[in-house]
Amino acid sequence: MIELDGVTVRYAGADESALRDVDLRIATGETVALVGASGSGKTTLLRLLDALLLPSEGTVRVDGMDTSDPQNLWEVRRRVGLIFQNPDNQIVSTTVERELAFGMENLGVPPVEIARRVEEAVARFRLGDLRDREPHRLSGGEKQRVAIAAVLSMEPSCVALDEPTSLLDASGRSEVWQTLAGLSAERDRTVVHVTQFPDEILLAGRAVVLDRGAIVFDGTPESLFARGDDLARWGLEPPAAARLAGVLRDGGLRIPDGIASLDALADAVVATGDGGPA
Amino acid sequence: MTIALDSVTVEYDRDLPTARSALRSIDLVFDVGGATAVMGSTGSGKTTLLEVAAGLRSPDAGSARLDGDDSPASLRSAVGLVYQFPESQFFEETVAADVGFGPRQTGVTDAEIDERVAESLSRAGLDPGVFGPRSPISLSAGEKRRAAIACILALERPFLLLDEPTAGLDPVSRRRVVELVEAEKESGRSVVLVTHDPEIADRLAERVVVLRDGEVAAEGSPERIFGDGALADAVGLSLPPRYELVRRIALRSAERARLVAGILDVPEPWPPGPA
Repeated sequence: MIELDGVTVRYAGADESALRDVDLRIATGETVALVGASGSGKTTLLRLLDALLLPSEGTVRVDGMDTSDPQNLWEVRRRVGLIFQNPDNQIVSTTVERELAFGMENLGVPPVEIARRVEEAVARFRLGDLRDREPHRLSGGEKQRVAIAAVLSMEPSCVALDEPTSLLDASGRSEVWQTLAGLSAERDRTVVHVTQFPDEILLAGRAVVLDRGAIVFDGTPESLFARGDDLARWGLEPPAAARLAGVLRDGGLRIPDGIASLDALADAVVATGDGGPA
Repeated sequence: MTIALDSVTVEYDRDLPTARSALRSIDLVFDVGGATAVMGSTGSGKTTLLEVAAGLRSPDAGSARLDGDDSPASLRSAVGLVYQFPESQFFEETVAADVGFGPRQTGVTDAEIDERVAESLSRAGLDPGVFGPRSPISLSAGEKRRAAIACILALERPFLLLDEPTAGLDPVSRRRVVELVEAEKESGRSVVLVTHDPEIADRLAERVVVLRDGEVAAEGSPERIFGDGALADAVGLSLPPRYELVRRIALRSAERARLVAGILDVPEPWPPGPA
């Protein structure tokens, strides 16, 4: 369980607060997409979760532990694993296998247990062919897969990802999506995913929108994308399927509202079944 | 004015155990006018290709020529290259000084520099009076990106090369960069852009070049490249949404696919095959 109460963050020298009086509860096992324009406070919020940053006002609790209490620091950081936008910023080791073990070594996990979890991570993230490779020679998608595997081998209860696909090509992106889908399916794993991509927001059960440091929307992705003009105001764009649905409606097809995925739109087009424009 | 790459090969770490070819025997021509999108997965050679075309990297074999002249200096005089994440290259105290830096190095007079700074910031959608005096690091991510592009616009080169100009931007900033590139293209500049985003390639480019392992895997109009689903799958490209939608409808009903393709202006043949 993650709890933010009355959280405000002010950076030194900044005119405006990066976060303003934010209240947020994320239950264990939830997958939440955290969205908003550049500068809306998404990354700031993410950094609060593992105490990389402490609130100027208010409290942040992870499983009941106040992140501002130095006594909780280790345990908070063990429970919240952070994945950065650019895997080059968090990979430190000279082989994939050593990278998987690095975090655990720092946590003081016994060597036998480290070896067991490395094997587990290799199997789960299909890293068998890569385990002896140098991380900096991998593709972007492979690197991000290694970064996620390394964080997960520390067995965090919450994984916080900061735009993990924004620097990847199409195949790297779909690789990370598969990994994310697997994580979201785990009942006791909380996933907080900062993203700009409408199609990624749809993978989450819940979308939270930040606008200039305040939460302005909290609900399902589908209900978010039904918010029309608000989307543009919040710096978001509708998914491609919703835009295309609008063009098809203008072209005379009867397409229901609220379509967010291409498959749903394809189904709707076939279901209208009237053989031509309405 | 034409940039011609003739059998261009580039190797990294030559004569070392880590040697690898970034480009293998590439033949490509960039004529003045229009836009080319260079696509392909990470590591396929896209950035190296831009560097060669800009005269910033000499090929290990083959040649890169501007109108037949293979001196790197002549290529450089015709090409402005915007690197990926160009905003990391700011170093002056004001946006105006940064945008003026390039022209100053090429001997442009002070009066003309001021003119060029104002004009390129405007073209990048940034009011020169507002943004010129500001510190580059005080700008938002999207503003920084456009200011960084303005630094290259100020060089007034006929060829504008951009390496993933929208990477890491939010949707609103991304759209503004796309509009900027579109306006440059309409004003007669030749654009070559590296992008992972098929929708941007579809919107901006008349020609798509797909690189794979340092070779040209495919080259043609967006209609041809994206209309060939098997090709796109083979080279690891995702399709622009309108093509992908027609492809998925075609799997369900050819007749409905024809109707939707007509509305969305997706030419035949539609991308066939498994999604």
